[in-house]
Amino acid sequence: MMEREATLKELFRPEGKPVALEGVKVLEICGVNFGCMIAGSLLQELGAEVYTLFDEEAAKITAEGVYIEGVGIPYFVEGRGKRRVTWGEVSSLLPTVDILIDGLGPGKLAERGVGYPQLAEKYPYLIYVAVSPFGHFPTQKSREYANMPDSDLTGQAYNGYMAMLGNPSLPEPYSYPLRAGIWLSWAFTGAAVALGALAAYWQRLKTGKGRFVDVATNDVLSVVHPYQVGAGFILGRGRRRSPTIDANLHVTYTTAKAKDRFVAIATVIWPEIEAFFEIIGRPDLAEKWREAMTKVEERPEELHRLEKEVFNIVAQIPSDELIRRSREKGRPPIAVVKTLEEVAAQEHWHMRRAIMQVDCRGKRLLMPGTPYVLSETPGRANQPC
Amino acid sequence: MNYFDVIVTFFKNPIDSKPLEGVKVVEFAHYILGPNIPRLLAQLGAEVVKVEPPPRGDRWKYASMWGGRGFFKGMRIDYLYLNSNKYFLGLDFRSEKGRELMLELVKRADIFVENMEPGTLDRYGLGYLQLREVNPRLIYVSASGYGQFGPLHKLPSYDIIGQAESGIMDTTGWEEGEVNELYRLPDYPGDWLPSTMAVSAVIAALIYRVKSGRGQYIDLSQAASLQRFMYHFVYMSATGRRMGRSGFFDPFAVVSGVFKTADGKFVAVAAMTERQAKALAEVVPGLAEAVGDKWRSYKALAEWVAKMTLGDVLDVCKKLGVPAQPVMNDFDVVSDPWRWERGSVVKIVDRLYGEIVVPGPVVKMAGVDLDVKWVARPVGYHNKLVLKKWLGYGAEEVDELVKRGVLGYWDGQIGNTPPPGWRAEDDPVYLGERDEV
Repeated sequence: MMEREATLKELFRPEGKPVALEGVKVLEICGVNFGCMIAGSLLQELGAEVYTLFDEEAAKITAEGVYIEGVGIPYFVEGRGKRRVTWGEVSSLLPTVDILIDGLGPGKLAERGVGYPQLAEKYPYLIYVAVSPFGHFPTQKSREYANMPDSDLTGQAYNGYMAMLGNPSLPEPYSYPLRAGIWLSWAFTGAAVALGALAAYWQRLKTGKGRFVDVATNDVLSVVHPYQVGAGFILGRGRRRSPTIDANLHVTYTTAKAKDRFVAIATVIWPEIEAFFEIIGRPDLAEKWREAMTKVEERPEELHRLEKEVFNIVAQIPSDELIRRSREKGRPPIAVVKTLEEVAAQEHWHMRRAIMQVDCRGKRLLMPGTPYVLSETPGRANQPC
Repeated sequence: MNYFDVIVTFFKNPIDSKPLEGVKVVEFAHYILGPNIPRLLAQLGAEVVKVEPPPRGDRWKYASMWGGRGFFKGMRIDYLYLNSNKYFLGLDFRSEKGRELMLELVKRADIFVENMEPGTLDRYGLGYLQLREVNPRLIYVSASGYGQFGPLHKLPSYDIIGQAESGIMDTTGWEEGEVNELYRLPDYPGDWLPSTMAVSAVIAALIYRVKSGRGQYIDLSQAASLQRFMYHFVYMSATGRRMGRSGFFDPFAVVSGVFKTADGKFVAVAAMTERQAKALAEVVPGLAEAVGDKWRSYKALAEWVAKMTLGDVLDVCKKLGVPAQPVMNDFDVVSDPWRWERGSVVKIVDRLYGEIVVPGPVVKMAGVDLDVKWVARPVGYHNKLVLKKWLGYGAEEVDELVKRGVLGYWDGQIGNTPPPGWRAEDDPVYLGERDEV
């Protein structure tokens, strides 16, 4: 196995290799729509040449007033490796563009004479990807909300995602639905836009024809990640939100406070659940849990009573002891929940270029690298300073 | 003519084939992370053969969902979605003949997707280094928690472990002192998001192959994919402080949060820019003075929202140009008229499972129909069809391979069975006589 790893490490060395999307030209006009910018970034990391129309409001978005190289943190990350252009340069650039990503909202570019209806006629090979809260495809809501700017928080809410996160038993307002700690809705949107753009580009290689692709921030997460649709259809109601018992499997697929710190416990299939009860020294609870699980609709309090009992036991065991026992048994996977500092210090992520250290005018900064690890055409994360 | 009326003309009358038609994929994957890649490729038109060892196959379908209520006519609902538009082959890859068949399929494939523990398939001669000898044009994707190399690569992974190792859990929930709990991101985004991102890498590799003639190896790490969106690292290194967990605030918005309305609903509001916050401050008493202090501005906005219905909040914010939307639950999502009108929730009639509500296509593409055509099938259901289409085998040869234990079928357990009333002798697809659609 050591030999395999060494061979693969060599295989994935990025130096001196070409990029996959060599010669593919992308123009993004995103405004304050980071789903749009993320899509451009993913294409850039795969080797496309990306031009971005600079937006002052987007560049100002940041946390607690922190600016780097004159822009906010999200713009600093998503703007790297892209060439900034002005409105004056757009028309001369358009004839050479393969993919245009429009994040301004339905009809906004058309008002300036560069919407899809105008461009499709002039540049029939153009791939035009629109990103907006309710889409450019005509619906009552897309018309009604055509002027509404995009946001990740509202995307997480409208996709039904936020309703599943947090603890409803806490006092208000801590009991309210929470957000995922990253721009999850914009991340899904960006991934979908990049995928749609490349699928259309692949088809263009065969047909020579461009196309219109439409992505709505408010539905991507629930379409790609389909529990809201499945639960609504099968159960005919919303699921119960729970911070610990997994809302789908009704098992201890969860975070828990061990004696010293938080751990993540991954029980998915029954042998893992049984193993978990064994390693906490209470194999007798497995059958009780199974029984409570089958009656969860009628008697949810039974599972909650067991949940309290189980987590009280876990709270008595040090995290490294739990992990030792799980490794010895071979299941279930248990891991310490790492802090950001611990993650940032791990050699693994730096070696894989998932987290990179850059030098910005004498200051060392950490930032996300690229997840694209390809043997022939490695992903690239450009120096942003 | 109105913009929307022009746009609809591009969507009318699908005329084109799907983008990835003609692309062949072999999937040897289980749970979510691996299978979601071929799911999306299949939706884009690729022909996907999901290979499962008979009789049990992909174990994800056996995990009880919603206290046993998550099964639709014998199959888990998320398994039905996750494996839609695929062909199912029950193949024992550990037998010599099984491995030979696998290699024959790989010779004809463009893409191979697996998510076993790193190194597992090498032991059976099905790792990248071995398969590239059989098919140098092959694009081979290994999906795992931490990738195929590096100090962590041997650690076990599930979505939740990837969340813990990536650091994303440390960004979610409340700061200690506010609430002493730590939450995972629900519904396994550590699987669904990385696999969606991976599809772009796969298509990019196809594009590169057109120019170079060469396939390649894609090493997908779920934790690294999540880290791609963690701007927290930049903040931390720039300031020397960690960025706090976000609760219900967007830390990059000027004013934001989740609020309760007078009619007891939750609404999310996010003024991302100073302009949006200023517009809001013109109607919300005390907000202008509170901007810059997240809890003070939250309280000002919360008092204002508490006196209004959800509909009123949405109307005012729409007029102001400030993003605001209701916090929807599962049932709200499925009942939302916009989603039905747009086609992001669709009712289809599956040939086997009948009427079923499914999520719509990952993107809407003008002139192309990217819908779900059929949902998952039990282990080995397409044995005859796949071996006929890909390798030219007759039904008798398949029956012989079944007798020898090389090929096989489902075990009849819940999660791995055809729907009630299904009859093998009446099903031409199962018999290999016709295709699904």
